[in-house]
Amino acid sequence: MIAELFIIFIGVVLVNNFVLARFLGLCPYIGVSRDLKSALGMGLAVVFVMTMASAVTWVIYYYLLAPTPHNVWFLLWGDGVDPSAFDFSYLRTIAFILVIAALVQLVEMVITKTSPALYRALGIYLPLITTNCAVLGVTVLNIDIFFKAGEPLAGSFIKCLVQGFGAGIGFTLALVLMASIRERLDLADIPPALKGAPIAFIIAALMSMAFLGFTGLI
Amino acid sequence: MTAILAAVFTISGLGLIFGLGLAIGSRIFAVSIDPRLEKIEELLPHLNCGACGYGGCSDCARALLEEEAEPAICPVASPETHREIAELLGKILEEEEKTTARIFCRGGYDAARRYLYEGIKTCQAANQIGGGVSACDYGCLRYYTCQKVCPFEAIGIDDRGNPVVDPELCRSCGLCVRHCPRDLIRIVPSKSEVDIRCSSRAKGKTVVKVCAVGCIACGKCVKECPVEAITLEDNLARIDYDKCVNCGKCIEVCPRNIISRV
Repeated sequence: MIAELFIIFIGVVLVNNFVLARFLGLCPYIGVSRDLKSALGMGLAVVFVMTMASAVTWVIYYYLLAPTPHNVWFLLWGDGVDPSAFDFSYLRTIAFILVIAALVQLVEMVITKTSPALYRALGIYLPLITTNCAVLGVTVLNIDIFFKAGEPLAGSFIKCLVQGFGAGIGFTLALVLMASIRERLDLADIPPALKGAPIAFIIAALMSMAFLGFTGLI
Repeated sequence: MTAILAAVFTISGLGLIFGLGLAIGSRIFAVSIDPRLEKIEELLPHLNCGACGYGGCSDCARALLEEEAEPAICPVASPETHREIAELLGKILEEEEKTTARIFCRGGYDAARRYLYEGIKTCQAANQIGGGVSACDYGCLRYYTCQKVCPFEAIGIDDRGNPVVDPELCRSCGLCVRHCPRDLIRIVPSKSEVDIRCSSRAKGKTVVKVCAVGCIACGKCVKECPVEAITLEDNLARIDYDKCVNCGKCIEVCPRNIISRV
């Protein structure tokens, strides 16, 4: 089990890195990677939200959306034999968006109250996570990978948590790497036409290719 | 039918639960904000130049509210704004004098260079190699970092390559003062019109070698001044702004053309 979790973690951080291999969450990857400090803040906020979202969406999918004998609606109105009429997995996207939006709002409130310093450091990046496709991506992929025909695989809840956490770490890794490179780019001798975003795109492509080297690691 | 109902209940139920959760959460985690904070922030210039020493205008407003900072801390805001802020905080403001930044070097293109510099184009970098690129130890390096950092575009370059401050646009935030590696820029009272535009403390002989417009400490201006506002110190003439009456007599006698009217 531990080995399996470790493989999931390494897989999602390096091999299937959300930014560099799956190309999710590219907006903050370019937008918030100008300096290291804010990149790190943004990354940590994403780690937190992704882990929480993974946990909550697993519960919602398992008990409300999937056509399993545990489905709450099936238990209430079903005939006790065939749960297939209670397949609400088509509501997955809208339900998960709700979860993520509410979660980010709640996290923002808690941080405002408990740690104003952290709130000031994160600033606008916190609300930005609401619409970050990487967060929705990780919850949807959790369901795709760890549920078979609506029925969860063994230990899928903890696996979802690890994948969510790992995806956040992978996102942070990509963001921090990019920010460190871009901080140096500011002082480098670059053709004027390529300054700023153009050179950042070239670097992003190079980094993505570099991460291809992890293919086949697991 | 039950399937449709269940779908409706799922989404609306989730919405309801999250909505209630957030409503309760906002009560539990409510942070009381002083209404004056918003008002102070509105009064501040919204330029986020950082001249006050805080991280932007909203941070400055917080500092003002917590009485960490004086009402007149924002060097950019007008005196009226300072008064309004003081009023809002229930404080009394002392009268202040309008000031402007001034650059004390007129070397320009005529001043000799020590070597050909091809490095990073900032004054800080150019100042670090071999005692600085300008042959005068005190003179302007002419990479115009002051112009680049000025948030109000108040610094221009004249036809002789000298950076000059437009007193109309300058709001004496002091950013250029902090960025000049040779301390050539000072904040002076706006009422002073005549000034000695050199910072060289080198001996007269050295100054003549490297610059056509450097102070050689001949003392002519000191003798000419009717109000004894000019003094010589460390081979450099300086004007005392409190005594100066802007008569301009020193301008005519200076053999090096350093003294000028703004």
